Amino acid sequence: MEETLTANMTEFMAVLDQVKRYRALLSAIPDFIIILAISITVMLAVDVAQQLSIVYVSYVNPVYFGTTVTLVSLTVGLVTAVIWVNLRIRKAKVGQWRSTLNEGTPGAVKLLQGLDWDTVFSDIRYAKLGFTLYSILRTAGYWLLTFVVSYVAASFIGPQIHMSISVPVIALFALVLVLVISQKNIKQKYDQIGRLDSLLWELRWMDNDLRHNPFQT
Amino acid sequence: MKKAIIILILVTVILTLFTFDNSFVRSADGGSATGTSAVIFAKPDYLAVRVKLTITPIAGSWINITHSDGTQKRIATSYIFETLLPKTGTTPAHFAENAPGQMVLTSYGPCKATVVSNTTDSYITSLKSYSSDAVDIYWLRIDGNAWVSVAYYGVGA
Repeated sequence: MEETLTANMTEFMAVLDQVKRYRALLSAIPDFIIILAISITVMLAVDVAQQLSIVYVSYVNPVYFGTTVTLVSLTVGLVTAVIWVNLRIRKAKVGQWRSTLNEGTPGAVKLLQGLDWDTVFSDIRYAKLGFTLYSILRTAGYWLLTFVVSYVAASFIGPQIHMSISVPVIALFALVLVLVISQKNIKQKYDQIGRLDSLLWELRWMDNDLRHNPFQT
Repeated sequence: MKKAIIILILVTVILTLFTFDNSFVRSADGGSATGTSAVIFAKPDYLAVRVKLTITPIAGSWINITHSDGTQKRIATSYIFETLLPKTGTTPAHFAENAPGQMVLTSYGPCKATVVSNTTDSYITSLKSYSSDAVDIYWLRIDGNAWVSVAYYGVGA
């Protein structure tokens, strides 16, 4: 009985650690947006400079920055943003409960009694939100990158096949491509959100039980 | 809160750049010049436009080109010429004007180019004296048969 309690508590605290990581993810989302927005700003600024150089420098020999700067800016921005978010997740303080749980049943009970259920519920809700937002933003970032790459590719391929490939078609192609490539990832994320939902309900049930039958040490 | 303000500023900058980036006018017109022709390019005064003209004599025949400032050039092979037509006015809320060569300029198609073939000296003289409050034109005269392509890139800044 005591071993079961400790084992269940270990599992439960591990899940709460995961929730903490997702909570850290939510707080890292503004950073993700800022980094990505800076790279988009650089990308647009380069394009504007390129067009201004055609008007004010030369049509035949403009100051050509090329598509490299655009692609590098977007790729570096996206990769930096994803790495930054992962670093923030890793920095989340987890596993501090292990020493207490090593005490056995008294430690498990101590941990259980020390839990602030309202905070736990709130954290799970925020974790769900962070997880969903990050998934959407990351997919949007990859979509933007794929769109730019496809656009550049289409501008080379189009004249070869004597076709003008329209921007909405490229955007749709990029979206479908990203969704197909990240299909597995999206499914995993969806399942994870479902698991967080189940956890929330289980904990509410547990909280209700504890309120009516508190632990006696 | 600080991050929210930074995001707001960045979004504003992105939207401004995106709008500016899409405000550039670019297109190309052209046609064939036969006999004495006038190549006319018209733009609203609120745009600065770089115009690139490519004139290719048909069947390698010699042709004469006379620019609006009077300079002349005699060519038998393809000739590329570009010039910047500066901004001379302010952006109106709505723009719709007629220009020489039966061109109609609107907010959605603010620049146009045309080749008026088999024209007369008096028509070209009328281009020299053309004046408008809202439209700037650039023109040149071609004596001979040629293909003319006019590409342009403009901006309101």
